Amino acid sequence: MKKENGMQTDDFSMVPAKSYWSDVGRRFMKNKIALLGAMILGIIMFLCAAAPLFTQYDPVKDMVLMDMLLPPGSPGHILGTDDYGRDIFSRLLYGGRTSVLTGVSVAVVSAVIGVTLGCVSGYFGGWIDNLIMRFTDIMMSFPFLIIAIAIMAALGSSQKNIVIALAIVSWPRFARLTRGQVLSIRTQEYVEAANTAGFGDARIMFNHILPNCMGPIIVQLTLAVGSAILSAASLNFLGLGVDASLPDWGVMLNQGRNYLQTASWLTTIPGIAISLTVLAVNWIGDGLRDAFDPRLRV
Amino acid sequence: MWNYILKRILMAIPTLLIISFMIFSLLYLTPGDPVLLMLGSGDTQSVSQEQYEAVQKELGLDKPFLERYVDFLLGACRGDLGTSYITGENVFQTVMMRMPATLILTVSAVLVGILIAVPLGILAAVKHNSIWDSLATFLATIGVSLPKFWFGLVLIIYFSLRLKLFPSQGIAYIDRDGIGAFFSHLCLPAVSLGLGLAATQTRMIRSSMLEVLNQDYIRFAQSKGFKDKAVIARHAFKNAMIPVVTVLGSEIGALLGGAVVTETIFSWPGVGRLAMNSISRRDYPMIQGNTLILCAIFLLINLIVDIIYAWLNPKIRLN
Amino acid sequence: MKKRLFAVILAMSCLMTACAPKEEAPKATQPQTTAAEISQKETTAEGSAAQPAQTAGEKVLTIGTPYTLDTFLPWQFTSDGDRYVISNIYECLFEYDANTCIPGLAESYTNPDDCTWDVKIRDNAYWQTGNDLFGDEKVPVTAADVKFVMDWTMDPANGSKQQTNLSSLITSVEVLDEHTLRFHTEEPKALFLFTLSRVMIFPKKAIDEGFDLNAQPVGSGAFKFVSYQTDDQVVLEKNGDYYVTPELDQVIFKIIPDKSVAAIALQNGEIDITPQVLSTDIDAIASNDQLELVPNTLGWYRYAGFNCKDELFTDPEIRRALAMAVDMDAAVAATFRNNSGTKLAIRAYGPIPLELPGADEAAWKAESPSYDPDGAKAILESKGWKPGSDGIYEKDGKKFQFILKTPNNDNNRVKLGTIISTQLKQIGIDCVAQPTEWATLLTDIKAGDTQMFVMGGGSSLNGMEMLFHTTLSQSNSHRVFYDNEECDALIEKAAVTIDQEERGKLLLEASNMTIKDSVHMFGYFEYVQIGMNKKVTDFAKAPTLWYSLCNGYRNVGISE
Repeated sequence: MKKENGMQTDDFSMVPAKSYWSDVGRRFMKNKIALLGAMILGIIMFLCAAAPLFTQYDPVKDMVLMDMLLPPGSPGHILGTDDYGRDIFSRLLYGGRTSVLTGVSVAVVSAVIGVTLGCVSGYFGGWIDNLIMRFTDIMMSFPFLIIAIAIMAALGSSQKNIVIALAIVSWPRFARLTRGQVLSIRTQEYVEAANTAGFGDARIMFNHILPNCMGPIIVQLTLAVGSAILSAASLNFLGLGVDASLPDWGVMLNQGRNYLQTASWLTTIPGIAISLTVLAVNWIGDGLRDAFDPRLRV
Repeated sequence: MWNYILKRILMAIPTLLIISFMIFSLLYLTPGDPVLLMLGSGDTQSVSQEQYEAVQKELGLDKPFLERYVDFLLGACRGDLGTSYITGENVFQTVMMRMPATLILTVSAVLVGILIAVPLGILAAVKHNSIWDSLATFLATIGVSLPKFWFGLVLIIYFSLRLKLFPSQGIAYIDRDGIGAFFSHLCLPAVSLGLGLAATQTRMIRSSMLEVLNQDYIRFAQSKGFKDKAVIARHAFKNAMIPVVTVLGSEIGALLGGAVVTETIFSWPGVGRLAMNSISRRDYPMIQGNTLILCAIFLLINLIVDIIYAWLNPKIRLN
Repeated sequence: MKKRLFAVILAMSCLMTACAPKEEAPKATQPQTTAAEISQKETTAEGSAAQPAQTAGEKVLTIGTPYTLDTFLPWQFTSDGDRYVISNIYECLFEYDANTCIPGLAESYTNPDDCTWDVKIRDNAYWQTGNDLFGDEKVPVTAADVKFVMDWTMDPANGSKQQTNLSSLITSVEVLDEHTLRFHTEEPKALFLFTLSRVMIFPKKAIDEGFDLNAQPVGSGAFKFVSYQTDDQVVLEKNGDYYVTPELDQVIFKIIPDKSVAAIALQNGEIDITPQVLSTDIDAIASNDQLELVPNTLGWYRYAGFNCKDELFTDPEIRRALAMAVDMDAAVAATFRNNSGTKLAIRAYGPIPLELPGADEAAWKAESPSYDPDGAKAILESKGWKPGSDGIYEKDGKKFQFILKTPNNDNNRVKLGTIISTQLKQIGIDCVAQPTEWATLLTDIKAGDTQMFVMGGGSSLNGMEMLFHTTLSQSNSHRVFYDNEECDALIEKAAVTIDQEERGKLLLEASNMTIKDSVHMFGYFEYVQIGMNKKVTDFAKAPTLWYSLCNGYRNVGISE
């Protein structure tokens, strides 16, 4: 025990880190909560990916109308059945495939676009800043439903196009958030020092500024996973979905809307699944935030 | 600063021009036929070709795209955003009729959100990794993982149907129904909207506070038992509020555009229902007007946010 | 500091709401209305039609309507929600409830011949008083007023929504005496009275003087307009001059867009009537002692239509096979299951609601295929379709794959679509139930851009025209491209056959054709349940908001 501790201290104080990013990885692995989050997310993803191993029901075709609304714990249906008599457990597992994928990809895609634009905007300032920020103002006030209807009509309804529509409306928040951070960090001494030292713009942005504004971005990113799952489902509800019979956590939630009083498990079960995923992602995010924090380096 | 504000206001003109063109072209591409919807064709009524064409002409939808756009722009320059296809009412007035209800819901939701988020967020950061921290994370997780309709309906079922504490729907006006009724009608929608707001804000405040507490000079000040650490903390705190203010600005803007789901569930006569209704009926002038007004709101809010940045961190100069 | 700021903002917005313009701003006939004009009109509206203070013992009926109000103009409305309100202010010559004709402003009619209708209006009908149009003067409604409305409606320049309907019905109207009118039609019109039940009679004086009827509706009905608060509520009060004294002193229409919240408001006693209780809320209402459920008089027809022009569905045999693959009985039972045993829907074997002429369930049943998935497969295979490696039928390298568009605004229809698509998937047909936004769906159907779609409607006397007639169905949301001349001829003949029994036979023959050809996958007739507080009296007799709460036929009240 003691020896290990000694090793650790050595690690930090004696050996200069090879690079910032490998440092981040190492610190992340030391964070128990973050690892727990990663584990939960891993288990969820495994269960969904290997769904046929855990349930014999087909989430769509095995519809037995007679058996509708069986409560959880009914024989043959651990989590009960929905209002079509379909097994909820199997729909949960298969539905996770689309939901987790949609949630994560929308969050990541919009974060990448938003953070890049926000960073450029905040760093260069002037007319570039003005241009990008007015564009975000426009995108933020655009009616989401119209964008979604137009995209679905032009490109056809598919899960990919749902992700595109959602990413289009969610990146501006990342852009504004990042820009605000960059504006404030740009004024700090070390950035000015890096500037005088003649470092390139890209290097200053990505190596000096960005790591220092990861905190809020990660918070936004992790929370965006949950809202993306819900927004994707609300599209279905508004008549822009792919196929009404396909399982999806958000769609399952909406489906239970009218059964809140009579069959509350229709909403609580997918609700718990989404919450658990978001919680896991949040823990991972917390770990990443701590790992990214350059001040915690020594 | 006044120069800067003037410049931003001037910038609003091209921005509004661009968004008006974008929304105009997008509506042009969107499927759905306002004439058909306006004639209410569907269950009970047949529509003759002549009648169809007459309405199309009346709405000016037979004109080419650019001509329609130019007409709209000329009208907008005179402050006339057009009249609704469906009600024949002035678009600007129609939106403004619903603004007070939206405004009051927004203000109270933000209030509820802040009252929850600020103490919880600070507590979670100060007692990092404690039970409070877990509670805050938990609340935030629930807040973003469950849809708005769920919060709304669950609140109605428990507090209105079961406990009979609040009415289930509608707005009350002080002069018509009295101040008690006003607040009891406002409570549930404000809380259901505020909870969602609190979710993001709690996490944001927690993260920002952690940032502050980890600042070198705060730690230094703490380790040296620095006398004036409160001063330093305040300085750092202000700086850390930048992301909180950013997110709050975006949320307020979005809320002023109308909280469709909450307004629908609580029968709240706000802008959101109008916007939703005009989209599903393809009431082009109303959609355009709504979007332009919302864009103006966002321009204003983001200007205010930028001014607050400069106040929070005086090194950020308004350029 | 911050808190104080928020307190100020809150106080300010409270103030704004409190002083919010209570009356709908004057409808802008000219787009440019100055602020001075607005405030002036507001005060006049407040002054003339201030909401009377609710005194003890006043009988107030509160109705929760799910619809946003578009207009108060009697010639302009198209939505049910507008009609619910306006029909209490204005009268039509006749009212229609399913297949029952009820006299409205008209007292009686005679037919000198099949193409002439003499209509006598009541001699005790007066325009409402206490408004800015008539002041306190009691002005009688005359035959000349009615003729004016008919002529005005038929003039395309006035843009009445009833213009097409009325113009294709009558050729001219003449005034015989102060209370008698003569209508001329080109050929015998079976739906004469029915069509007139959509034309509301409004005062000529309003048009002559350019009076804004949208800001202050004035009719001859049993209730007067008091106020409208945007998207919130409409208040009406009783018209003392009406020939029947209304039981109710006040009627309030509260707009509650969410139907399950309306059900809760009904349980809480916040409202007395909600026109549509969702099937999921039925049990809660049925088990409440204070409340009762009243079914709509008419079952609304719901179906899944084939696009008969689509290359997959040109063959009626294939359409029949698909219908055989779906267990419609089970689908209807599952969709409308409830513990209280309320009849929410019955399966439809044909396209005409059972209450209307032409419906004959037994005859339809004989023509309908029964549920038989194996039989369905056999038909498909006899037509050259073979199951592919993935279990989906293929022919000439093409999969049996299509999209069933399902409207998003009605849960029961979504369910119908989902069940159909799932059961077709079970026999090896890749049918995607695509939720489709309402406006998009309407355009798609009209343009023929569908393969199969779930729809509802045609649940009225002219239903067959709307659903199947080649040209008359062209502009609406039921376009299936059936294009059968024989069927068209029957429907056209029915429209000019006044004898109801004779007409019924023609319509039955036409409907049998559509069943034989499997044009629709016939769904169900939905008996929408009206939720009502038991203290409401005389409503269950004619459970509809489609016409006035008080007329010669019923007089809705509230018992203490």
